Amino acid sequence: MKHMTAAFCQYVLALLAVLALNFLLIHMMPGDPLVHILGEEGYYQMTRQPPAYIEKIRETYQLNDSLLKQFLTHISRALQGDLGWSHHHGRAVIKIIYPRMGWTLLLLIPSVIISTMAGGILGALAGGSPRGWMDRILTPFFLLIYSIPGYCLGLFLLILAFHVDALPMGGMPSVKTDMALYMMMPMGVLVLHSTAYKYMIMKNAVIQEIHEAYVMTARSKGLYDRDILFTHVVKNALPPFITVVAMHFGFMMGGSLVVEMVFSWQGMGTLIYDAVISRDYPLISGSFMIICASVILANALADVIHGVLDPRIRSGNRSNE
Amino acid sequence: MAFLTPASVLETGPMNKHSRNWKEGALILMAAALPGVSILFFKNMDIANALFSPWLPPGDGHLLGTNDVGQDIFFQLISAGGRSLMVGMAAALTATLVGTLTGCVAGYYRGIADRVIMGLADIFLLIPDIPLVIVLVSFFEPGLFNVIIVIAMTSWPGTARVVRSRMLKIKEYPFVLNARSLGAGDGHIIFKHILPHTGELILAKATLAVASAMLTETGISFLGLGDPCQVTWGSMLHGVFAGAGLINGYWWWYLPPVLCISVTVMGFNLAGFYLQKGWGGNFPADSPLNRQGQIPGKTHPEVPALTGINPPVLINNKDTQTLAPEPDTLNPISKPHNQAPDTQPPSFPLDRQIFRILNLGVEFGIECETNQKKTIKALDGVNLSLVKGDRMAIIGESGSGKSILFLAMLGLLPYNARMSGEVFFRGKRMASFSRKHYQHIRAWDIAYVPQGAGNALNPVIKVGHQISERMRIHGSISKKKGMVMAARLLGQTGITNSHQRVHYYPHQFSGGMNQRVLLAMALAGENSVLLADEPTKGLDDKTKEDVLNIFLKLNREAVAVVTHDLWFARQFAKTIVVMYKGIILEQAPADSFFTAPYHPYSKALLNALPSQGILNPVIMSSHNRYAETDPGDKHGGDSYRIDGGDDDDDDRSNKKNKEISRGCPWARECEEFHDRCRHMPRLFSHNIHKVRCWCHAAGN
Repeated sequence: MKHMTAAFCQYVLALLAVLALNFLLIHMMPGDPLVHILGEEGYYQMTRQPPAYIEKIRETYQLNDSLLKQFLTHISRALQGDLGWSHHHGRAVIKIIYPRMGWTLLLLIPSVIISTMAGGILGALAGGSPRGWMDRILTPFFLLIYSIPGYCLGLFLLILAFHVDALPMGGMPSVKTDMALYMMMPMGVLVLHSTAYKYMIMKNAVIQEIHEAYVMTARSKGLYDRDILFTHVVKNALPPFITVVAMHFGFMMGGSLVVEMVFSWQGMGTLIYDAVISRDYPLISGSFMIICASVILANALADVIHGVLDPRIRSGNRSNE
Repeated sequence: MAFLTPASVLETGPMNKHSRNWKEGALILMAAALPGVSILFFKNMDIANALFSPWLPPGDGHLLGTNDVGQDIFFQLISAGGRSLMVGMAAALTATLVGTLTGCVAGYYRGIADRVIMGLADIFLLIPDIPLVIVLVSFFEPGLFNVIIVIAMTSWPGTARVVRSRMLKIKEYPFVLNARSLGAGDGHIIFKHILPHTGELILAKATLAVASAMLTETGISFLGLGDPCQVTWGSMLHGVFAGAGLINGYWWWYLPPVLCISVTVMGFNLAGFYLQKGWGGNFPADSPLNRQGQIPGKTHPEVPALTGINPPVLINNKDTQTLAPEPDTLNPISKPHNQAPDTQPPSFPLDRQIFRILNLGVEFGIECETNQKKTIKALDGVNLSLVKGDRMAIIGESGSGKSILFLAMLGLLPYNARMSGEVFFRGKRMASFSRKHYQHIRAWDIAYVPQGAGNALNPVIKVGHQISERMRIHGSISKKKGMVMAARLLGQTGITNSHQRVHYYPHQFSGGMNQRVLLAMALAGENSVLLADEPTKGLDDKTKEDVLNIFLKLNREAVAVVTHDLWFARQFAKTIVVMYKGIILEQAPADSFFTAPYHPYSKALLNALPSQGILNPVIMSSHNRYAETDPGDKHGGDSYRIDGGDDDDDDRSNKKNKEISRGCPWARECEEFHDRCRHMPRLFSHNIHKVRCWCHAAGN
């Protein structure tokens, strides 16, 4: 349990750090903090109002209080889901983010699952016989894929789609039955790119495990190589692999923002882009907070899975490490 | 909190390999960076901003055509490339400096600084970098400088983690401890002693950081969030997107930046990977899972054949006796009439022989710090038969090659071992077995008790499952039934409450209990031959007796045990084999051996038993006779004999060393040392004893 508590504290700290960063950006930037609270459009609207009204707004956002008090209010508001009001959209930030996050996760979660399975299995097979045919073919291929930026990969696909004319050039499906067709390309890019990374992680983890003494013990029992690989070796390589997969989730999140732009997918990526263009600060920082929170949550989840997979962590005893 | 950063997973392998990668990787890095550096010279060309007609395809005057406002794409590409590279390198440099510094402080001083820095690094690693960069860039003024700072902020933790973990490793090296004991200051130790050993790692991380910084920068500019006044590859792509270049099919507009970004990022990534671990990685060419049965003499042609400088004393095999030089010139004692063939004619009918080992040699090729290949001999000219009904104990000190012998019999030698000689199992040549055949005999015929040290048991699988695995191969038994049978076996080895304890994991057991789990594992399936490696190691006297009783009650065709434990050997064995430095010194029936051993080494062993009261005076007053007769012997003191080609400078002394190192291995400690002992004696048959000592040559 000690491990779990430490991990939990870490995630809470990370969340606090994100909130603090947000707060700092709003209040420490030169100029009126109200610009960053209301967004450029909101601020512009406000400046046309009589001064008494402006003062009232300052009161509502407690800008005359001490910074510490403001910070605490900022945290408590964020934790209650109050991320501010977007004047550009005329709605609460959380309500704008909610459906868009759904679209992003629709792309992201299947990609994470598929790439984890594919990368894990292929990596384990290649790691089980280094310099075997699988290793020889897959390693250069995935190295190549991994080295090309995700959105460049997306552009290549888009160019291909443009000439082949089989898949839609991005955008959102008008009917639900078309969903798979529209998801194909952005998801393909995400899956390919992160499979490449996870393949290499799994391969190296398996190669490290293969020289452990228990592999010899398993072989001395006459088990088949493939059984040893998947029951004994992968079971040991899995916990660190899961941690890396979770770490990569944040990277994939960022990557998906850019890939969404390539394929005009109406998720968080396009939302943030529009928010930045229209200087809608509450929406920018709200989106950032939600993204960070989901990444932190994914890591916390991975820690729990890690604990389930590794009995040494489960019982809080890592004497064998 | 054990976060595995990507790099710490990718970074593996021994230190010495890095020195090689260092030079080659630096070359590749320079090749990757050279175009970029040359681009820097013309980054402020006016021609990049001159306007021509829009959307001109490649051709006259414009190498790559023009874009929507009529700028020449080729010149744009060059000036943008310089900027992209500059941003990437500047960000990577900053991140590497910060990361190295913080990593050094955290790894060297530990304590509070370590906790704070690593805590911060973990938090930064949790925050996804592209969203963070977007937010920061949108709050700050857009500009390349801000982009550099922000990218550096998000990428230092990776470097810090790697540098820290390397620091922790190097800190414990003898030369650092030496420097500290000489009173060197912390700064001196860090910068003069530790950082030089981290250089190639930092360079690798920096190279990868350039790639990821360029990736982030082009991503941001592609989104149109970069500096609007400064063209980079990313913002060129943004222009294509904004100007609908893709849909109109202006391929000369979008293809060049896409290719440039991909190739450059790939170049830096590949250079970084290479710096980290070489192209194929530091991993051995062959993994245990991949290895077929060893083919003697064929597998490793680069190894010099066992015919060294002094063949007749190296190989005691009648096959090679034709290679022997004239006896008079080299070895006056080993006259032909004296050469009893070492390989005895089968003393039992062939069908009773389970194992027949002929002239088995096992060598390990290792690479030492100086990158020179050395060979360690673990077994040399071993001849042994294991017959039906035999209970054999192989005794000797650590490092005498006993365990390797078992591994060779199981076909489980490590990947870097080279085997010579033959092993026959039930009359069949094991070298000819297929992998499947090996698996079959390990599953059905030979059971093996590995040594309990390290994780011989899989740490994440319940012991019950590990015990019952072989029974589940034998017949399709359910997991549940397997557990019940495992509990019974575990109970037999003296573990109480075994029905609950089969559900435990190895870390919940003590070392001695794990040892008994390993024994239960070997007993499962009732294989006809049992090979046990130190089954009593780490057990107290009571449990030792339990284990002995199990062994005595075993109804197996043959049992062989490797042990340090002379008490156990005496109680259990019918045949005793004494090994020393990979060579069999004596083989005898247990009764006769324990009453009257022949070999001086065996005598010393028995004298060292606590029950004999006092230590052997010979061992206590051991002095180096070779030191008197030949001061040039450097290798003799090693527990393994190392035959390497390292001291080429003095060929003669080298030759002499080899000659002496191939004499009787016990000679330097022996009471009855004689000049003949400079040469390896044969295994002389002496009634029921077989002994490798010149003292007993006459009796042959």
